[in-house]
Amino acid sequence: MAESAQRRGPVVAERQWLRVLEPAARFTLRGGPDVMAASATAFGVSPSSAACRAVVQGQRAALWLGPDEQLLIAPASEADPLRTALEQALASLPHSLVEVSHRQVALEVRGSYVETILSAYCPLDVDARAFPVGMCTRTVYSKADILLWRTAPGAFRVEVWRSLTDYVVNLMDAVASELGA
Amino acid sequence: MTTRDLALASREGFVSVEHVKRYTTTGMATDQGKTSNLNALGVLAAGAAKTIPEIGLTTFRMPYTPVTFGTLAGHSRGDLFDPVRTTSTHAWAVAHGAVFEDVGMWKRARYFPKPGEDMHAAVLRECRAVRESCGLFDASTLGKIEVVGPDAVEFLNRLYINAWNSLAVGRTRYGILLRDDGYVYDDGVIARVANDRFHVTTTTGGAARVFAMMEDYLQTEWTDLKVWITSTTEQWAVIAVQGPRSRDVLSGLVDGVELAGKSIPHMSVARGRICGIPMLLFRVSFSGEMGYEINVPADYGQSVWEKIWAAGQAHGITAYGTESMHVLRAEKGYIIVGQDTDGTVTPDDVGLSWAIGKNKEDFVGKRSLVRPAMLAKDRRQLVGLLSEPGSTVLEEGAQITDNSRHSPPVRPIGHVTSSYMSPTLGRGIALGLVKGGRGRLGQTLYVPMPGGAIPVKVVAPVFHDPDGARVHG
Repeated sequence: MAESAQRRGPVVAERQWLRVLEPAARFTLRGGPDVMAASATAFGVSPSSAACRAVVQGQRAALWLGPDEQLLIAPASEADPLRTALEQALASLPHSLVEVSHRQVALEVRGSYVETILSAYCPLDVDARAFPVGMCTRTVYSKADILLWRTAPGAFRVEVWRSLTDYVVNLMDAVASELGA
Repeated sequence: MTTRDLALASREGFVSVEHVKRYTTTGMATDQGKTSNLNALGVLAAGAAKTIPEIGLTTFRMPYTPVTFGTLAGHSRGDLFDPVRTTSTHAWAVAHGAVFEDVGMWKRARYFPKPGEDMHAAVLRECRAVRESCGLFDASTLGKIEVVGPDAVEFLNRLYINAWNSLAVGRTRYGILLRDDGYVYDDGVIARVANDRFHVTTTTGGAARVFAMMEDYLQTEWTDLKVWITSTTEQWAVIAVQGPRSRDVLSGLVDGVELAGKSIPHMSVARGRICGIPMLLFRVSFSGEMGYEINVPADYGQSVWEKIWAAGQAHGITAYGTESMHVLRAEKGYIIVGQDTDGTVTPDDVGLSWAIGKNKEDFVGKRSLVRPAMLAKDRRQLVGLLSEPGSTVLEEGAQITDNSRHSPPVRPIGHVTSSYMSPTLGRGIALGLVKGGRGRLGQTLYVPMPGGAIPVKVVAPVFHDPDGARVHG
């Protein structure tokens, strides 16, 4: 048997205000409140029932993206056991569990200019009073769909579909360079 | 907007300068008339035999001073104007001299010229490799939607024209999606990967609108269904390995799927590993040759591609691009939605009525398909066209007539939708939509061009391997 194939994600040079986060395991979970409740034991995170809120437990997070939709994020190495555990826990309930680990890339955008960089091409109010730590939602950055999640007062996690990574990073770069960031 | 429009407005009785502004749009746009208004007012004044002060001045809103286009464009220029989407094998394609084309926002390799080759020579070589040995093609941009839930099969039954109940787990079927007006909207291979889970593929350009259409029906019409859709377009890199040697190329790389024998027949799907990476392996063909489409998680796309490339060297593996893909599928008469269809084409028009699930109570577009105009005998139907002489390659979009007369009136009875120099047949081939086309096989029609009408013979739209034996290997 030939040697194993190597993993290679989009390459983005680190900037002071931006870095690419480690590859992660990601699952889109769809279903009713019973599904979300049943997922909690298998996943180890009780998903939020409040809109647009992320719940973090250790290395895992559940992000509310819709009344019947959570995005589950965990370390990349946990993808296979997690899928098995979740499918077992949810077997008797109508639901959809789809792995999307490679679909998107996680960027961390941080620093004192972070809100300005995001506001330039995101129509949402990202001020901390309107978009507090723990808030997450799908939105856009100019012409790209993104997922925006405030993980700390001065840091956001931006998830972008892999082929749009360069576009989002380069556009943020254009804004950041005007700010002297 | 020209002075003729102003003169016309004047003749039509527009008197108030504000009405003229709204009618002709003079004095609108980014400068609010700061550069054009005096000229426009002068024209109006002349037309009305008045002075400019008598005509009056339009009101204007911000910006009060001219604004440069650069200010309005901001960062929206160059690569930031629109996203440039690339697949996981993009760097490899660049390194191997690919010439790219834009497909939606995607950059796709169009052909891979060797030194000294033009597109024609490269496509000839690439197509021959697929027909005679093995070709390697990046199909990652195809839209992918995972449809999951206990009502997944019912959802697809209601949406696509095909019957899905009879599709067994591990099998795939060519699906066709209509709009509710009965016209072809999208197509793609759909795989049943589990009883309640389908892997739906869409056209590259149709991915977003098909997803939106599905979500629309789920949220507004069919809230009774327990089924959910997830876009997986970018989860998977899709590597097509096509040609009679494709099995030989892959056999040393694949684990967990028996490639030989009948365990993975044409139009089936299986899970296994390639180079140690979990894959979803489709045995499908858009080239007409036996072949596979390997789906691996996108971050592994380039590495798996490189390993297939290395293993294929002994079998004459050749990277091919979208141009050869188009030629190969046209030789087989496989349509491309949006090229051979244009939003006024029914499944029967393109010879696909066999795909309709005849026993289904309903599907999107079904009601429209039985309206009198949709059943008319003289609808434009897909046919093959062989130009004379064979060295002629027809212009795509050219009109088709039933006589060679060159001066008006010459009524078109159809048009050319796809046209290529076929490496397999060694002559020009074309697909076209012709009124009552299937009843015209054997007839000679004409494609009027500036240099004279080109005679074309109407034939069935499958030029290569009409029995379809080659896909079975």
